[in-house]
Amino acid sequence: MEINSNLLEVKNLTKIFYVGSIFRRQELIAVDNVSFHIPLERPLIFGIIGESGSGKTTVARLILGFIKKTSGEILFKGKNIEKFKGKELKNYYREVQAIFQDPFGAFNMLHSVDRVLKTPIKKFNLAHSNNEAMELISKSLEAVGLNAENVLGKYPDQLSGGERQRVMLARTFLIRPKLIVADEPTSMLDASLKADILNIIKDFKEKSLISFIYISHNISEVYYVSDMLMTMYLGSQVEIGITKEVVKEPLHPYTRMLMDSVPVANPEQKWREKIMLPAIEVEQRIKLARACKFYDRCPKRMNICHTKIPPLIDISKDHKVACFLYS
Amino acid sequence: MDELLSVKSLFAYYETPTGVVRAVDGVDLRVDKNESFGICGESGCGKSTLALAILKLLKYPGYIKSGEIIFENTDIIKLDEKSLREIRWKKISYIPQSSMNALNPVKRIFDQFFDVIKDHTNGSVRKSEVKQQVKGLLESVGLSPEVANMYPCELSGGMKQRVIVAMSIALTPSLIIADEPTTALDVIVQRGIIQLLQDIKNKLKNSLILISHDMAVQAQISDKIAVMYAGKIAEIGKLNEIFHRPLHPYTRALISAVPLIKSDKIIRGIPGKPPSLKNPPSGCRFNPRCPESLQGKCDVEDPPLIEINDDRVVACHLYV
Repeated sequence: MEINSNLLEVKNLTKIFYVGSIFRRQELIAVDNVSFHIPLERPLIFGIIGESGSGKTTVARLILGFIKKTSGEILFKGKNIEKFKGKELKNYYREVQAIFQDPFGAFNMLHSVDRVLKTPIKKFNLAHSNNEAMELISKSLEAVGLNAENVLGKYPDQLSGGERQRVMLARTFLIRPKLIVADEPTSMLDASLKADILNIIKDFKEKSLISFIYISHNISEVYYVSDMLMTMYLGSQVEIGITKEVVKEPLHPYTRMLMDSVPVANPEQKWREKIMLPAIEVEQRIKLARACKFYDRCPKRMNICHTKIPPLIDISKDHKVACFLYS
Repeated sequence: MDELLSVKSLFAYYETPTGVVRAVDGVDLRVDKNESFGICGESGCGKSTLALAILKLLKYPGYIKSGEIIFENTDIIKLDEKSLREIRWKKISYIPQSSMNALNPVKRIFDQFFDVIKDHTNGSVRKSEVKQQVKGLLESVGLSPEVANMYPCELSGGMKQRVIVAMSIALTPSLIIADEPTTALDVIVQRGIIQLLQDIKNKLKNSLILISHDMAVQAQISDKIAVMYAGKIAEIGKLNEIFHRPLHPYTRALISAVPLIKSDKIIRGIPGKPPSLKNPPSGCRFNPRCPESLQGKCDVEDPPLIEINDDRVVACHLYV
């Protein structure tokens, strides 16, 4: 593989948090040997799904450089992001942007929308005059379906959740990044507003060639926006593949369980079987697993699953699964 | 079917320094025995206020302005606190929004069950009598009896929610009102909780009012759905009718905003946002966002609630 063939490459990424007191220090493996990549030549929306505690957000925070990895590598255009300093680091933060779950927490309540949008322009010298800046701003507001006249000069508390999330998207759009890491950007919005955000994301990809890492626990949403999809369970990637393929034929029992549990907005497609929730839960990640992490909940478990960690197996060129059913 | 609860022209307002918020503004609905009744709509359209009003739990600055809430032939609005105590939890239990945080963090789960049972059964029970009952309740929601001795912080979000569901059925109520019981939970846990509510309904033969903005969740469990918009009922109908023949343009918009797995349908958001309930638009409250709005009619006249058939009402000028 050529060095520069990927926009982002995550290799055997692992993050261990230490919890408990200094006398009873325990390891919590939040991200466990995760690898994936986003190509450089064409934009791609890479979806990550999993329950809370599956390590989705930790992956996002590692890529954004908020926390340091324990082992593995994150390469941006072939270069290790931890080596970035000064100009290179600034450039990285320009090309990789983020959108978070809480459109209410991301704003300083005392800063008007203008200020929110002007800060990146100043920071990255995107415009030479005030007029140019205003033009840029109204263009990016237009790209997210907002009317500049209606939002400029307003303060965050005068905007709805959906509008705030759109201002956030407009802000990233100003900077024209290569990659946007979107961590559950719709989970706090109403269904009617979610649809708009999802459509804007698709639009950014198609018209402005921006790639996304789209993190969500809602598979219908990930199915709607993403090209590739990765399922995570307790820190490990259990399945990765082209979204359409994975959804059509999920291989890992956990992906299948997730798929079957998504409520479908159609009374003819009700859940068929009853699901059993665990009677008592133990924090599994604390123990260094020497077995498949899904063993306790898996409807198809076998003896081998209890004694060995399943490796990631290639099913086809773009479809991998970590399950002994397929080895 | 036999009627269990009927709400008749209910008005519930909030008094604020900048004006009156008309959160529930003339709502009529009927819930039958052993029925799952879904209430949906965007945030800020009065769903939760309606739930609180039914229990007469609205606190200042909120109040019930007028209307009737007939539950098992008594008007809840006319009852005093003492008689309300007889109804709350015993007859109608309530699972509030983000109820996982409703548990007392410094009390064991068993003690919290005991408090509930003691409070609503004249205080004449002993801990030892309740022990077996709590064990049974926890088992009925699929939890291990060990959970009784644990503190809330030892439980996951889904487990806490199941504890709350177990508490809500402690006194076998004939109506459970659940306000967004699965938001903030993962899909698998959400499915577990929804199926649990369904099982309980089948076993106790009681009724359920499920408040959820998620049309997909509604499609899984509800028998009948009421769509609310800006404090008013837009449409009520049987589940299949609502999904396959939605009448109100708002219902149609809500359904087409939900992405479907394995389908290539393009989803559309609803332009604009729900109006301020302090001064809602004149005429039909949905008219500024409605693609089918009739000028000179929808923006002037309040649409009447039209009865299409026994189980179906819609408030829209298109059907006059």
